[in-house]
Order: sequence, then C-alpha cells, then structure tokens
Amino acid sequence: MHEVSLVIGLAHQLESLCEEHGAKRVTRFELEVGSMSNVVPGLLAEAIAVVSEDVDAIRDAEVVIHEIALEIHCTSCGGVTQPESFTFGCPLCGSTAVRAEKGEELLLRNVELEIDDVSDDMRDGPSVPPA
Amino acid sequence: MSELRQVHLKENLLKANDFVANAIRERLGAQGTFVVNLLSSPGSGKTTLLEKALPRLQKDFRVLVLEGDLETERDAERIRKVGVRALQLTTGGACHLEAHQIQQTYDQIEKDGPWDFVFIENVGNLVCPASYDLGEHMRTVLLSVPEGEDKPPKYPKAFHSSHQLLITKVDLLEHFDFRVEEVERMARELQPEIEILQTTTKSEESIEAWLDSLRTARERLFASN
Repeated sequence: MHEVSLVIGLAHQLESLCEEHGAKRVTRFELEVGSMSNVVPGLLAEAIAVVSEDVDAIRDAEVVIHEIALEIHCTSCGGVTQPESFTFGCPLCGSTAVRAEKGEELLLRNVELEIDDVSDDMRDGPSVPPA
Repeated sequence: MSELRQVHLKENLLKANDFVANAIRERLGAQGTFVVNLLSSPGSGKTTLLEKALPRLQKDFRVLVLEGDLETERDAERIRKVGVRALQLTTGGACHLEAHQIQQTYDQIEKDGPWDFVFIENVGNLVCPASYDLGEHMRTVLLSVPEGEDKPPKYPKAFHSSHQLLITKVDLLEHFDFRVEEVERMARELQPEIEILQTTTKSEESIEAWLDSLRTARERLFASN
C-alpha cells in the first residue's frame, strides 16, 4: 500500500543524484528489498513503472530489484540461519539473543547515470548564454 | 556524445523520513515531551483507550493527541469531548502517517506547549505504518481479542518494531478462542524485549497499569538525559 509513497521519495533521491553528478538521466538502478521490509517487490516494480512516467530523470531506466531473505545471527551459539517464517529466536539453540543480519533492507544500491561528455559541451558552447 | 557513470550507493529509501523523525524526537524530547505512536488494525480500540485513559493522565500531565485519519475529524472530536486537546491530521486517503506530516504541525503542537505527552494515533493498518518512524519515543501496538491470536506472525514488522503490546478488550476473552499466552509467546518471538499489558476499558486498574508504564518510561528517558 505504501509503495507509491516510497517510490516518490526514491524519485527525489535519484533526481538529486543526477543533479549532483550533472547527469542527464538515470539509465539503470538497483534496489535491495528485504523480506522483513514490509514492501512487496512486485508492487514496488509497478509503482516505479507508474511514477517514472512523470519523472524525466528515471523515465526509461532499467530497474533491478534484489529480494533479500531474512538471515538470523545468534549471539549465543554463533549459528547463522535463514528461517522461513519471521521468528527472532535461534532455530538451532532456542536463544532469543539474535539479530537480523539481513532481511530488513530497503536500499538504493548501484545507479548508472548518463552524463553528457564535457568535451562535447565545450565544442558546442554553452546552450544558454551566460547572463 | 555522452558517457555512462556507475555510482555505488547504500542509501536507505526511508532516509528522508528517518531524518525528519530524528529531528522531531530531538526537538520534542528537548521540551520534555514523550511521544507515543499507536499502531493497530482498524477497530482495535485505540480511540476508546485514549478516551478512557487520557483524562486520568491529564490530572498530572499536559497531554496532546495527534489523530491520523484518512478523511474525517471524527476521532479528534471524540478525544476533545473528554476534555483532551486533539489535532486532526488527515492523510487524504494515504494508509499511514509520515514524519513530515508531524513536522508540518509543529506550530500547532508548540502553540500551547510544551506537552508532557504527545500521542499519535496512526491510521488503522498494521502494515504500512510499521515502516515509518514518526519521531516517537515509544511505539505501542494494540491487538484486540476479537481480531484473533494470529496477528503477530501475519504482521511481523509491526510487532518487531514495537516497544509495547497492548492486548485490548480482554473482557471479551471468554467469548473468543484467544490464548493470551500464545500471543505473548509469538510477540516475544518477534521482539524479545516487548512489554506486554492486557487492557479493557471495563477495568480502571488495567488502564492505570498502562498509564503507569508510560509515566515510568517517560521518567526513565528524561532522567537519563
């Protein structure tokens, strides 16, 4: 349900990234979505398709969504497990002294930007004359 | 000619929300305001609990309620009727509150402040609100007896991210197949540190026990600062 709000925020993040690098647009970006993040990857992809139609910087960008499974580390027995269901107990020793090492991600990772070649700009001169 | 540049990042998609939430927590915390974010499904009894509890809390503390609702002013009006200040935040159909919506009401919040407690009643929904930090010091999730005992594993993030679980409407236990110990076990599997209380608006002691836990949590937070 909140995927669209997330994607609007993501679009802003990508627009600022373009600005920062003087890029024309984003050609590709990767997201990491943990199984505990409360985000449904399919809905996220749909929301990106809808929102990006209205955002020049990401309109035709390729999107890659990596789904990250929950991974529990137990601080008592040192075990690392990938439980099917969301339990914060160690399936090996039963201890509750565990932490989720993976599975809570909601991250923007690698981004590919298209940047106008500087030497080209110099050849053509600035498109807007200096004030 | 143009070139492609690879940028390697590890940026949280909720970065902007979390930044604002931390600012809210610090700003209100500096004024001695303890912020509670209430999460639950629709109909679990958030508003009813506040109606019963807050007039009591208000005897010794300054209390404000922020009501998150899709469209209406109904809940805020119910709170005002029992003599407690309430601001309505309508989300215009959105399924959750975000930190910037709290930030936008700073002026109204601070106008008659400082407050000892601010309660944010989130939109009734156990999914989306769980992802959004609103700058609260305590997140409280409510689960009412008629909803059934299977909610914690169905909505793990809501329970995992909460400090406190209130099992509400426990006066109805005899009518439902709802095992309190089973719910407690499932909730602790998701969040071993979670504090669990049982409430019913039929019992003043259960309301008072909840208020005690809030007073203690507030005292502990501000004593350590």
